[in-house]
Amino acid sequence: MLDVAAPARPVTAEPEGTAPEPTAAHILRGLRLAVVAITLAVLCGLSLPMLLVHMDLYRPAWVQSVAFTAFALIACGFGALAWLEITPGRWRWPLAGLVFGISIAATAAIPAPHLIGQAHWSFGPLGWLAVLLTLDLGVRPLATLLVTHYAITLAQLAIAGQTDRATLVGMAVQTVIVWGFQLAVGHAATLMRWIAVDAARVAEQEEKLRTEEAVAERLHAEQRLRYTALATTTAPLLAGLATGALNPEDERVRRSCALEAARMRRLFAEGDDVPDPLVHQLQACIDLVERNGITVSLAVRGERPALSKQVRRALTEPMLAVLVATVRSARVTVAGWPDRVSVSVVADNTATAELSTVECPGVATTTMEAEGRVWVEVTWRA
Amino acid sequence: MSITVVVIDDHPAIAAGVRVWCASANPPIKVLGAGANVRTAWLEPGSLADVVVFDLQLSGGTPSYGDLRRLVDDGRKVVVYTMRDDPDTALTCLDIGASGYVTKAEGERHLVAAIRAAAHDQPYTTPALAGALGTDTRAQRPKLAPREVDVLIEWFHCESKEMVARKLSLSVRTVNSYIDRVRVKYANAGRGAPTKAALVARAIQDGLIDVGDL
Repeated sequence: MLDVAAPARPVTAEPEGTAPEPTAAHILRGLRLAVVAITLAVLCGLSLPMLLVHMDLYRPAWVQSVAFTAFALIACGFGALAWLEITPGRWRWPLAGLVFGISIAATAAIPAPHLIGQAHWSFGPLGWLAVLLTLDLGVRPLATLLVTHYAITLAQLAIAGQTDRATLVGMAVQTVIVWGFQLAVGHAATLMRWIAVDAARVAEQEEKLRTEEAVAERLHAEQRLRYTALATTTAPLLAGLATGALNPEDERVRRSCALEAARMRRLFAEGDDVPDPLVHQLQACIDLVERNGITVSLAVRGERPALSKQVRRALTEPMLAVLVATVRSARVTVAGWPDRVSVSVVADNTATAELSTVECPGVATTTMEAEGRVWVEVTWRA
Repeated sequence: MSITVVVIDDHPAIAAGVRVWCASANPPIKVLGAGANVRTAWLEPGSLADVVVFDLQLSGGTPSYGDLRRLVDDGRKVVVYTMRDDPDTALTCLDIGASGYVTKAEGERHLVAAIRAAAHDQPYTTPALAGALGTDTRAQRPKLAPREVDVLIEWFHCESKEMVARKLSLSVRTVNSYIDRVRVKYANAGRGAPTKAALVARAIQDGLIDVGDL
């Protein structure tokens, strides 16, 4: 098992379209706040003076006051929602209806001759409110709202009998000027959303690439570490055998070979993903010596905590030397508690094998020879 | 008078092996009968045996704790002799009131001694059982002294009381008494059974444990 300490992000790709959302939402929020600011600026800077100047013109005048206040409140409401990162939901369409209703009432309260011109203060701000209502939907719903507004206004002009050429031209000019800005902002929102999605996708791919690189690096380091573990013991033995410096007939050389084989077997077992790595590694070494006709019994008792690779190596290393030197039978036992683990081997070894140990904090080894047997016990304490 | 046993095991070879061990014991233990079914222990001559050697998994099924409980509640001294090497089974059998628990891997070295101890209401703990007692973390376990746990675990590891004694700088006698005291503490805990009460009474009578220690 590769001991990669939880890569920064899962390596598996996330479903398309879910990851880029946060970036797009973030950008849209900024844009929405900007449009709220524009709307309030238009309302207060342009519409309010027009409204106040023509106040005595309107019939009745209070409709204009209520309409203005309602527009300002809706714009502020959008600001608060944008601040809290809440995107308009289905309720935007009833709200659009309300806005249109206010606009129709405000327009109806303007005397016919003043319908085109400065007295019609609500024409521009309504477009900006339409931008706020459809900012996250793209430019088409915005265009639909604006065209609807234009049609309603035209209808009101017709009802008021203001269909002469000059009025219609004035209306067209006013519309083109105002729409230019509003459609541009709507289109910008769409473009920014695309860019955000692209940016997020690229960032995700880069992150994936970085994770893969980190995993590869870790794997490589792991392999080098394994090689180093073998290089100090296995490599010299192989070199000695190759050059003839070590004689395979020598009992000690043969035992060294057996020990190295057991060590390599344990090293391979270290990488396996199993529920009980310690017993799995011991089992790997036991399998190896059992092939030489030695009987090994293994008994395991108690619950053990998860042990690091270093501790597992320290616990198993002395076992290897004892097991490879066993003549007929051995007993391997593991006892565990939440804060302590002891591994023991009792074997009928005739020759005292040199014990190799791995330095590890908290691990102690005891050895005893009695009754023609060798008993080695390694204990780890948390 | 020699000790008598009845062997309940569905493998004839096991029953034959137990017969041989009992016959060659010194003094010999008399096998009154052997059978593949627990009925053998309830019918004469099996019902007259001092000790029942009981295979927990007859015909390879689930552990027959019910049969064990009925025997124990009738005051029979049962030595569970089983393939099962897991601590839970061992602890459950002790709680029910089995006088001994010997795994088949340990049979040759420990079964005869376990039968003898059971016949005399004395505790006997094999290394496999010691491992289970020493690593027991269940909430209802009896409280053991750290030294008792050490002795149990070393006995589990090396299977030699001499080596345990040397390692912990104790006498073999002390090692034995530590192991036996734990077994008595377990007999005094959990479910009540006549065999458990007899074991505790005998331990107090022998001075192995004080009433205050329980």
